[in-house]
Amino acid sequence: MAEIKDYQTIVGKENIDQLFRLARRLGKRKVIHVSSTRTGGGVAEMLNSLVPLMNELGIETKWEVITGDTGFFEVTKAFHNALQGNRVNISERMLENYLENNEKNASILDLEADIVIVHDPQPASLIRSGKGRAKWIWRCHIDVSRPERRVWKFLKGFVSKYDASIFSMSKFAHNLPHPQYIIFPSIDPLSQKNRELSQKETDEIKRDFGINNLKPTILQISRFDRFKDPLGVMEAYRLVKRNTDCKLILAGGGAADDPEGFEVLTQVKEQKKGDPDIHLLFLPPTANREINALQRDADIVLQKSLKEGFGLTVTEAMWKKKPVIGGAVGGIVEQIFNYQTGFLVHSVEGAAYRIRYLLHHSNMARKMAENAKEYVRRRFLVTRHLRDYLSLFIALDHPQDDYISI
Amino acid sequence: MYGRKKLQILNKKAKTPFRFFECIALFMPTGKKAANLREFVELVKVVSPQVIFHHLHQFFLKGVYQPWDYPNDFAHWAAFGLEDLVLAEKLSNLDPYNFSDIEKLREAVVDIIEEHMWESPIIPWSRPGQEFFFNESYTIVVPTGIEAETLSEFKEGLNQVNIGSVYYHFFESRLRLQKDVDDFSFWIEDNFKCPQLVKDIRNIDFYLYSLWELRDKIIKLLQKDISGKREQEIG
Repeated sequence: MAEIKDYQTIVGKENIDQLFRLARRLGKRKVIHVSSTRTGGGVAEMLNSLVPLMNELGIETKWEVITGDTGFFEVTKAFHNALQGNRVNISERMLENYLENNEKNASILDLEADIVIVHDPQPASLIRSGKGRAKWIWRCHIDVSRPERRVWKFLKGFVSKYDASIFSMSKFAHNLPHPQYIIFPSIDPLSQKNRELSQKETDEIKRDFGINNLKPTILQISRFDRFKDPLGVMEAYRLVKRNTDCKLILAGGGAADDPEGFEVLTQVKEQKKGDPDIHLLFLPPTANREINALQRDADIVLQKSLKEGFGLTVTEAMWKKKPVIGGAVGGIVEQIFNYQTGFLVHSVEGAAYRIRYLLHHSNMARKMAENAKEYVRRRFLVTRHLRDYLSLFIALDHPQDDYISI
Repeated sequence: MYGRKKLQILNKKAKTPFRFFECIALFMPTGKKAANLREFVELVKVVSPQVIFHHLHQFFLKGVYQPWDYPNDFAHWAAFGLEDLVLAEKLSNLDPYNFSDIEKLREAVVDIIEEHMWESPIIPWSRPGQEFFFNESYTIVVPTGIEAETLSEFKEGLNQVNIGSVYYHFFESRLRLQKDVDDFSFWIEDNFKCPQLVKDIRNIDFYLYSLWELRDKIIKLLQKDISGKREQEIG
């Protein structure tokens, strides 16, 4: 497990000293994070890094995870889809089940703290069981800019009771009767997914996947999901292949329990059409080291999403000094600036053209990738995330102000 | 190395030490958004002064990639959201730090946009998802505990503080002090006889530098002053 001093060589002593200064200002505090899972997914990944570091800074921090029956996770999955704008069928009984499960959780969990941070919709209704002396913050990680009205109305009833909420981008925020803050998510440069890997480790992982030819590699890591446009990626690859030889790796998982995802996966398999230069890799949620190796080995990383939350796979690839081509959606536009940190594209043809450009302009690709890494260092690492949380705790002490000097 | 007189200059103590503060901005969405230029200008007219301050003055604090094409959020959106490069250029040239009154600055922004719309046959729209979202910020200023009594200590201090400190003392000071002066040159002028150094720092066209570049530039000026010209003076 990384310690805070290990980040000093990455972000500089000045930024680590700042974290200690802010933590000292806060003094003795007890913080509890509540989420729905301890493994798998972006939220768990971030909390795995943030919680121990917060403790090391002297902020007593606990991480509680809610439990629920099958029905509970069915309804929270439906919430997730509905909040992202999809039509879903949720019965009154399902809503009751959601509330009952969270009531049970509230009676089991020890939420006695100064600050309680509740992540995403799954545990949102815990607040109905009373806030105690704590300040409650709802941390929303998903794109709720166009939610399904009925589900949002239901959730808004609880979310409005919180003292503050945090969104990942201002376009995801809502009209709520309390202060709202924007905090970008982050990656941990010392986690299994992002730490430096030796060439030997990378080669071994490639060999395990049966990737052994020397053609330039185009990689997209994402779920087999329509919004990630894997079929568009294959089309772009074929356009490139007419002029420049290369191989494509599509790696991801998460389709087994998702009927629409299964359909996309079937289409992707069909579209492979026996091409030996297309590698389809199905990875479990814990394949962090494998993802790390694939990203490090790629020549170009694609994230040709049609809809996206923040797009931390883009951040990960940028951190590994890869030229990245991303769909101009969600948080990808916060990360990629054309010709500076990568390329934003709006179509299959645009993706193909930019891949060809980068394959033929290696100096430019290298320069953009170097810029990209520095940009991530400044804005999207876990240390900046910690700073924002500590600053937010200070802000919560002075809710009436918008400028404080302490 | 240095002669005795030289050391005296380097170690000359200030009347009052320089205390480094740092500044952190937490972004807060206002819930207001514009999809086209007309909606945008109407909102610019009514949003709070803090919103204007956030998008124009505090742009530097975001750590946005440098060298950027456009030095504030409004110009950036004109270029990438509306794809209106003429407007982006006009808004880039508007230096918010030339305005001591934020309402005058707001008026200048509105003037630029309305004049541009007057000359343009169409109102530009952004693509869905590329709308302009108005934010404001919660600003926290914290003492770093780092102090300098001599120019050498000052140079060391500048190297040790977070980049938000450069923003606080070089950018925000102009609004705080209500004059076109940064804290650094103000302190040096007040405590040491270094008119050229003060002039060089004040001559930096800071609107064109990132905070990192600015820090490097000031440190180089200090270095030059301490080790170069002083050496000559001593003979």
